[in-house]
Amino acid sequence: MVSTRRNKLRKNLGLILAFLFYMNNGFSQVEQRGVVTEISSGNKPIAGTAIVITNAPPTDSDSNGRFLLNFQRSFPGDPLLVQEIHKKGYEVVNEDEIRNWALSDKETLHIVLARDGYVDEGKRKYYRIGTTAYQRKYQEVLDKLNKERVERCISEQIYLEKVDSLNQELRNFTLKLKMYADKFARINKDQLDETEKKALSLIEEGKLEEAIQIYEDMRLLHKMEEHRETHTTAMQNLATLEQSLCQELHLLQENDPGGNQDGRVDSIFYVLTTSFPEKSSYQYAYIKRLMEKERYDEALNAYNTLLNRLSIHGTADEVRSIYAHIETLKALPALTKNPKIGILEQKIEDILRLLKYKTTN
Amino acid sequence: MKSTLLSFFLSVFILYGYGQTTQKGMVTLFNSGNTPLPGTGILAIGAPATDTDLGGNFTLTLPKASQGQALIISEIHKKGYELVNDAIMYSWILSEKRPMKIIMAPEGTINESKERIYNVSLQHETARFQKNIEELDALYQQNKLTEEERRQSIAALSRDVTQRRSMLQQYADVFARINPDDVDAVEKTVLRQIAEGKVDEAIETYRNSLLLQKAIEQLNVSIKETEDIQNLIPVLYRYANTCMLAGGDENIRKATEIQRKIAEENPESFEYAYQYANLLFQLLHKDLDIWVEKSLRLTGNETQLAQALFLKMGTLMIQNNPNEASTYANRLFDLLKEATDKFPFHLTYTYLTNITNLYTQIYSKSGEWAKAIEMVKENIKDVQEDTDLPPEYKRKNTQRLFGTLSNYYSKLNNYNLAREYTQKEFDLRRQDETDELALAEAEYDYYTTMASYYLLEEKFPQALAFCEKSSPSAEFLINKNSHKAYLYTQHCIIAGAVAQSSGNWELCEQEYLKANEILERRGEDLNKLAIIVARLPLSNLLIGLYSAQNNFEKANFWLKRACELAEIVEEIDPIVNAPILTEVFFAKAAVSYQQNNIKEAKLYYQKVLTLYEILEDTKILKKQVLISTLTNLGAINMMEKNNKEAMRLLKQSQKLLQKELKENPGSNTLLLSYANNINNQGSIILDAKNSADAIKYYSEAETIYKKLLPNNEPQLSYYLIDAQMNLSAAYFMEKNQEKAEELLDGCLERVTRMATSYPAVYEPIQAAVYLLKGVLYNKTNRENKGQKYVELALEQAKKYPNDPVILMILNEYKQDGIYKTK
Repeated sequence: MVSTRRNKLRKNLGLILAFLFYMNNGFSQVEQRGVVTEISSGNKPIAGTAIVITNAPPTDSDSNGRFLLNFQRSFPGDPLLVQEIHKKGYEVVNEDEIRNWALSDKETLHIVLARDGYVDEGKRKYYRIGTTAYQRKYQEVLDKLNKERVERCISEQIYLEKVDSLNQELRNFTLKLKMYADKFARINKDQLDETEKKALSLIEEGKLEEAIQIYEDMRLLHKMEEHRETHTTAMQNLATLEQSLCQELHLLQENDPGGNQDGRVDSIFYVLTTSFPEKSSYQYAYIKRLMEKERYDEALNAYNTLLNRLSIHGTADEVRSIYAHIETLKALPALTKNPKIGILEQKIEDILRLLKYKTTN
Repeated sequence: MKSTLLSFFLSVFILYGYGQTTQKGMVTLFNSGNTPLPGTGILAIGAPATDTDLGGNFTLTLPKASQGQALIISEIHKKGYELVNDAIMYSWILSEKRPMKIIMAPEGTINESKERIYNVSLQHETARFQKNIEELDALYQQNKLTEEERRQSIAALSRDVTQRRSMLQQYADVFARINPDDVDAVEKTVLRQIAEGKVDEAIETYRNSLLLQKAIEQLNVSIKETEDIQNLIPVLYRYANTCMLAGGDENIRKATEIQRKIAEENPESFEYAYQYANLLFQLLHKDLDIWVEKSLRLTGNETQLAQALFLKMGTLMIQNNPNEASTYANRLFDLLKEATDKFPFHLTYTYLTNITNLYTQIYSKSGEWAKAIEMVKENIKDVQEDTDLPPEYKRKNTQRLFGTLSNYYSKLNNYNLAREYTQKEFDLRRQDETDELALAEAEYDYYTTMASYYLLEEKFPQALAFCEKSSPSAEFLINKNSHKAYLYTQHCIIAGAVAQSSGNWELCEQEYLKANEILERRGEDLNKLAIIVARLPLSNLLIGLYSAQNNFEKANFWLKRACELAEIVEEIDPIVNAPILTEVFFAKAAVSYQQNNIKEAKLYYQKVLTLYEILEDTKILKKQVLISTLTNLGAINMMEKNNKEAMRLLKQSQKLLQKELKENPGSNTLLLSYANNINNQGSIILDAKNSADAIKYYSEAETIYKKLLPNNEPQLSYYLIDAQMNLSAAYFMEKNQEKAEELLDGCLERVTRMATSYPAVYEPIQAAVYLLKGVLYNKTNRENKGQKYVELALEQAKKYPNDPVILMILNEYKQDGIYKTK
């Protein structure tokens, strides 16, 4: 609790700083664009949806359903924390997608709404479709059991036991079904291509096996494997080039005091840090260079990328070691007033906390 | 044997090596990621002309050559292409192990490259020359350099540039022929240049090698492919979901496979691992643990971590490991508490509710409500002392925790404290709700909770009083918003239950029917499911009410409705609706039994037991129904003379009863069940001719019935008479005829009195008492009197040909089972 209080204080201070900076420089970290549409309506925009997101000023969607969120205290890739998305008479359809959204300057956040009751009705519809399909399978087994019972192939006791276990299976299945009915009720037809629209209409007619066949014919797994293969080949090619790129980088950095080759050095760093995110040494080397070149803003962004990686794959010690870096940065006159420093510090604390809760003990 | 074989191979190899040799090779396209080039003709001295196949491969067969000799190639040809690594034509040594790598490029490539490399390098050199001149000029202007020195320096620079230019021309060809696909070649060149101290040239080599361009190109390919995969994934999920919707082993297997592939192909993604783990959770798949751990490892922010911890918690619960689960619950709880700013309010609320539910499950398993209470109290303290929390969050949380606390206290049968916290919860909630409707709902919740606590405590007058208090808010709610109609029915139901428990059947019927009427009248406004769910318990109550009055016609009417509704509910969500379902099944069994359909009664009692087995670990089912089911099933077995099984069931239910009674000693309902149980046990013992022990059991039951009688005479007289008749039979077996007769007379007096008010229930029993009396007289040598009572009994019995009591007693009579001796 004590630490939270401290964080909060620092955070508030950071906010004030960020605000001042904003006033001076029009400073903004992430501009997340988004659009609100109604489900399966041919992308009909919905105006006047209240959107309240942590770390961004609350906003409403405009007449085209569009909205813009200004995050002062976030970096691209940070999670989107929804406080409220509200439009009277509507409910949010794609909650899962929104919850897993990572802030981005480039990608548009799509919020799909449905009129109250729409999802519920869909749920019941798909639930019925599912139960009907399963009921058929259930009935077949039951008929067989009944026949055996009449013909006295099985004793009353065994019959009862079997019917019981059959009922239990049915119960377990229907329990699962509820969740899947919900998923189908939340499908936005506007996002489906013609083939999938056909599959969905077959599902609605109860022709589930035919729908499965359509998906089967799309050979999706095969396609995914093909893409993965090409991807793997590309990554292997990159791995064969890695050593040479490092060599060249080394040569350039040692023999180019005039900075004639800066563009090339940047390109090489881009390739190395993007292709091999697991090798934090590249990221550190890049940061070092950016600092030497006094490209502070880019350096801070690179620190953020590094921290994002460490939050998943790092150890507490690694994350803590960044503290020392930040202390050095803070001492630089050019950076003492940069609000990103505060954000990074907060982020380190957050990650340390995350790692604490992630690992046992 | 082995050595022979080896030497055979060796000799073949050697012979082969001397006789002829082959040279394998491959032709690829320049700077293409090693794309093979088919249809290239290769002409070598001493070998037949060969073309490359589709894979760009070729094999030269040289009948008269051996390994280690030089190979001379006279031509490598494909129309529109030129040979890049031309040195290979003159310097190849035959080898069966080392394939020949021939690189071809579209005609003109080398020249174009050469020019480009030369021009770029020239520009680079010129720029450097310019820069150096500028530096010299600057020094000269600052008078740090004399005119003469400047002139000499420029001359030296020019010489240098000329020299470099001629060198560049030389190198351009070398650079142009370096295949970017062959990293080694570039590296070798660079290494050589560095060794010669020509660092600038080494840098130049890299620049001209197109390695970086190639890397960027490959990186773009990998990014594009990743995007393509990302675009496929939503479609793949819909595919998997369709399979799950269709059900059946084959489809479920397919769905699992798809989700596994998604998760495996994207091993860095939390989302996909988590989705797959969730599916495995539903299927109780053997890989569940692995994937839950994987998703836990891949979490990169608080939201994901909360999801993963929650899943881990659930996994441990279904694996029956509540202790371990509670450590994860604690972790999640602490995380929510510490990282308040990372969780929107509604999410925190949902998780907290779920954690509380989990603890309820854990503690209900071990019955450690006191522990649960301690935990909740600590939470309340934390919430109240935390100055950082927004006041709204604080109030809502405290209010919710008070509610939980109240619930836990009620589980401990500490209704005083339960009420106290409900009161506190209401006080806070009242402050918070500004909306008239929400306030009415809060009031309604408060009054009905209080009423139900009093009902559980069997303090009927107070329960009734709170019920009445809830009336206005219930009315208000139903008028303001017909969707709230079910609340009003709840009110009627509680009022009815209170009336039923105090023996006021008329009022009870009235209240239940009122509730039913509301549901009928308001039905159109309500969600269909809500009506069904509201109606089902109501039907159950009516069944119970009417069957207690032996009004089977009405009981059956409601039973039929209940069964129809139950079928729908069972389809919708059997687990959530299990409490209602067990009651419907129980009622169905009880009525079947009353109507003498023993087989069906057994089937439905079995169904009840199955549901209890499935939901053993949860506290959602009332133990009452289980206890009654076991007792009744025991009674059926007893009738079927299956005494051993009957005794087992009765003992099992007795054990449960004793446990419940210990926790809740004042409960009349439990006491009644207990008396029924030992009464039945007495009969089994008597059947084994152990009359002394039977008397003990019967007497205890009789005492309890007598004690309970004032609460609900119409119902309890029935049981008391039964126990006294049993007791009478036991005394007779003990040869204590006087006591037997005395008890029977008491029964007759009571049954006659009750039969005037409730003929349908008590006339069949009256017949039974007559018959017993007749038999007793007959067996004590007073046949005249005896015959008279027997005739009276048979006459009365004719009125109720299907009554189970009559049927049973007549059966006993025929088999001479009444007043047996040792």
